[in-house]
Amino acid sequence: MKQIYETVMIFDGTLPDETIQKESAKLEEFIKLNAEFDHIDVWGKRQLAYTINKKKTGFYQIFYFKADSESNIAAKIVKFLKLNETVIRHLTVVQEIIPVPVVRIRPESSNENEEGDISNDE
Amino acid sequence: MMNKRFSRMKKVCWFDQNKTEPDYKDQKLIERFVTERGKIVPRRLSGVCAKHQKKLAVAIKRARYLALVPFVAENIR
Repeated sequence: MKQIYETVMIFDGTLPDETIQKESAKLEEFIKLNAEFDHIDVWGKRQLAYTINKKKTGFYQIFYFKADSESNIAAKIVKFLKLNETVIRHLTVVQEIIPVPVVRIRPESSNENEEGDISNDE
Repeated sequence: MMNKRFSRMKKVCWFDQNKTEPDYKDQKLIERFVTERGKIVPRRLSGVCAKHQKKLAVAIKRARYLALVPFVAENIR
């Protein structure tokens, strides 16, 4: 089954923009090889809520892609990024499919019953 | 039987009301359901339904890992 994945990457905020672009391009290529790449969402430089390895800022990027659920893409990305020192944190998550709410049509008589119940409680 | 003097307005789940789902990338939304200290607000206080509280807890934990929200807020005294 095809699922939409999203990978959040946090690069070291102190790095120059060129290195960040180079590293993100590497991952983009890796994703293109293993899955259907969709798009990147760039948040840019942000203050981290707490220091990670003595770093206070991070460069956030989110990659969206489609992959087969049996392709083990999340594990592959973890393996790919394990030894990369420019990446502070990364998280790969399957995007949740939001179900369409079911509209229930109640008969009018049921409403009257509910009102009756409330008055009994009081 | 509930005494009328102590009866309260029934709380409505914020997510049901706005027809949204908890999202770990939405920092402002996550901060709504976290105390100053960084703890998850219990649903008896926030009024979130059980289904959404479960999803919210996962979202908050993801946001913490990505350093969007602190695990423990410091400098509060």
